[in-house]
Amino acid sequence: MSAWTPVTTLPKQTLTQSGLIAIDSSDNEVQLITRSNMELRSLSPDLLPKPASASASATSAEMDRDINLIVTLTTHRIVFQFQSAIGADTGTAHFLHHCALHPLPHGIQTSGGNWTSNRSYKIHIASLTHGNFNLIFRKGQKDRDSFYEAFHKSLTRRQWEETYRQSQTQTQPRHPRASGTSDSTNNSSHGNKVNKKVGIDAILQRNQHRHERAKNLTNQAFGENKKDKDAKAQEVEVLFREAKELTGIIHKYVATLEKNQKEDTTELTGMLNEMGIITALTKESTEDKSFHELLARQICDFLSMNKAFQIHLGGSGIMTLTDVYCLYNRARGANMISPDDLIEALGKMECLGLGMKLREFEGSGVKVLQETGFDDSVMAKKLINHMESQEGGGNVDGGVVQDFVNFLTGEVEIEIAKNYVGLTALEAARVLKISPLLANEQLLSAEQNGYLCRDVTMEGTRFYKNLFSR
Amino acid sequence: MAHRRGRAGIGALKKKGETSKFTKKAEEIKETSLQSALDTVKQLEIKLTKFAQTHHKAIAKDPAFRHKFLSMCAPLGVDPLTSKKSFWSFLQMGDFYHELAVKVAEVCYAYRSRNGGIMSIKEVQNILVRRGTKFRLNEVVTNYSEEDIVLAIEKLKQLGSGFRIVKVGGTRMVVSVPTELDNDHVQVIQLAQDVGGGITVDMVSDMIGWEDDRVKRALDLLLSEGMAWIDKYEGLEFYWFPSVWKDSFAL
Repeated sequence: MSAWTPVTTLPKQTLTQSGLIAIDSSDNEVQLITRSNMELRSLSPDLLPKPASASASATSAEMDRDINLIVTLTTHRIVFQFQSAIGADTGTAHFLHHCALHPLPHGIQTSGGNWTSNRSYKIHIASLTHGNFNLIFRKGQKDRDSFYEAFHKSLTRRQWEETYRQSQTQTQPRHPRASGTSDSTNNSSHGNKVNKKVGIDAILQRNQHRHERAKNLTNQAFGENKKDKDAKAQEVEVLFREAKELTGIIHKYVATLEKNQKEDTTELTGMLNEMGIITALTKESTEDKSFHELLARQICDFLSMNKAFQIHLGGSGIMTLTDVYCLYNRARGANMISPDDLIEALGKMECLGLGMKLREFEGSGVKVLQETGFDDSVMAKKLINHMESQEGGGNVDGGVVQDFVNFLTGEVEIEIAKNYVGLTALEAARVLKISPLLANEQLLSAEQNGYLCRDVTMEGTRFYKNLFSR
Repeated sequence: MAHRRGRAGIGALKKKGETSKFTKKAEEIKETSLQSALDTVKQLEIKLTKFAQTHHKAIAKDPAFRHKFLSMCAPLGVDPLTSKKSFWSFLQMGDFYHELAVKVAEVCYAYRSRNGGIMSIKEVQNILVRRGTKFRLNEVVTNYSEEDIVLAIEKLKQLGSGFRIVKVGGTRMVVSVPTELDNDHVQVIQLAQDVGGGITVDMVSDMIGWEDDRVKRALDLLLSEGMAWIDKYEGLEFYWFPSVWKDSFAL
C-alpha cells in the first residue's frame, strides 16, 4: 500500500514509543530544527530504486516528489515524516544520514527565490547514495535560511565522526609520553633503555601529564571572551571541539572529589540522577502549533525510563505535577518550560494515546500524572493486603468492634478477636512507596470507594479496612 | 644449595617494613591527584560561568552547542543560565522565573521532613542565595529578592501541589502542601512566633482566649502535618514550630 516516492526509498527511521524520532543519544545526537509543510523532489534522471514496501501492482507508479512533509534536522541526519500521519498514529519516517551527503560545499546549496522562474526557496541536496534532491520551503525565505544555517553548521562540525576522532587522538599522544621525557632526544642504543621510566616513576609521570593536560585544556578551550562577533563565534567552535574531552575530564574529577566529600547536601543538589540531558525543543525550533504536542511526546519518553514512575519498572505509576515539572526542567537545563506549558502539554497526552494522563483529585485539588494502567482500586487492595498481613490474633479490641458492627448491621459474621490495623498517611506512603501527599490521596479515594474507613483521634487520622461493606 | 631466603621480592619488603614507603607514596599520589582535581574544577567553574555569560546568545540559539555545554556544566552543578532579569522577566516569562520556580520547589521538598511543608520566605531566600555549585569552590551569589520568590510561587500554584503564601503576623510563609490552614492555625503559629519558643495548650488559651478543645484541635492538625513538634518536658507538653525558629533565633 505504500507509495513509491523519494522519501520511501530512503532508509526507515525508528521512532520512540510516543512517536518521536529516536535519536542516538549515546553518540550525542541532538535535534536541531523542525519545519513542516515541506516538499522533497528527486532530481535524478533515472528512477530511484523501488522500496520493498511498495506494492507490486502497477497503480503505485513512481512519483518524483513528496509533499506535506515534516522535516527534522539533527546533528547526524535529516528525517522526513508524513504530515497527515502526525496525530493519533504516526506512521513511518525515513532519514538520510549526513555522511551520505557530498562533503561541503557541494553537499547542500541554496537556490530559488528568483522573480520569474525557480521562485520557491529551496535547498539543493547532493547525496552520494540516492542522487540529488530539492528540498522546497513553502513558507518562504526566512524558513529556508534558518534551516540552511543549521544544516551547514552540522555538516561543518561533523559530529557523527566525533567518537572516531576522539579515539584517534587518544592513542597518539601515548607514544611520546611512554618513551620518556624531553631529555631522550638522543636515541642511542642504550640511551633509550636508560631514559625510559619504569615502575612508580612511570605512574607518577603519567599522572602528572594527565593533570597538566587537563589544566592546559581548561585554560585553552575557553578563549579570552572577546567582544568581536566573529571572534566570539570562533571561541564557540573551539570549545565545541574540545568539549568532549573536557567532559571526560570533568566526570573523572567529579568522581575523585565526590569520594572525598561528605555529602550532607545531597538533597539540595537536584533531583536529577541518571536521566541525562534532554534537547530543549523551543518554539522557534519546532513551530508554535505543534510545540505542546511535541512537548507531550518528549515528556512521555522522558518518564518512560523513570524507575520511580513506570509500573513495569517497579514504580508506582503516579507522580505529582510539581515533581514532573522539576525533573523535566532540570533535564532541559535551558529554555525551561512554564507551568502553563506543562499543563497544556499533559492535557494532550490522553488524546495522543501516550499511555499517561493528567488527573486532578477533587477536594484537595492535587494534580498528578498517572499511567493509564494505574488503578485506584489496585492501590486500595495493596493497602488492605498490608493491613491484613499485619493483623495478629487475640485482642480485646476485636471484640468491641464486633459488637458495634453487630449492633449497626444486624447479624454479621466477623472473625473474632483480631488486632485490626489502621494506617496513617505516612505509613501508607511507606507501603505504597509514594510520597505522603499522594498516599493521603489514595487513602481518601479508597475511602470514597468504600474500601476503607477512617478513624479520627487525638493522635491523628487512621484508615482501617471497611468492615461495614460486607 | 643455599637460597637467598627472604631477600627479594615483596616478601623481602614486607619483612624490612618497607611497604610503609609505598603506602606513603600512594598517599602522596592521592594528595596530588586531589589537589589537581580541586584546582582544575575550581578553574572550570569560573570559566564555564564566564563563558555562559559572554556567549549566552549562542547557547540559546544553537541546540548542538547548548547540549555539549550543559553536559559540562551539569556534573559540576554550574548553573549555565543564571538568567538575568531582563525585559521579558518583567512580564514573568523567560527562564529566570522558571528556574527560580524549580529551585523553590526543590528547596521546599528538601526541607519538608523538617518543617512539615511550611517555611518563611526569608529562610527560602537564604538557602537559595547561599546555594552555589556542587563543590562550593567559588563564592557564587545569586540575588533573589523576596518578590521574585513570591512571583515564582504564583507560577507553581497551577501545578496543584498546594504551593501558596500564607501571612503569619508580619511574616510571609511559603506553604508547599495542600493541607488547609485556617485562621486558627495561623494564629497559633503567630503566637509561637511572638513567644519565640515552645508553647503549651494553656499558654494559647490564656493569650488568645479559646477553650482547650479548640486549641487542641488546631495543635493536633499542625502536629499531624509535621509543622509542629511536641516536647514532653517536666510533665508539660510543649509545641515547637521549626518554621519560626530561624526568624526568632535570628542568625
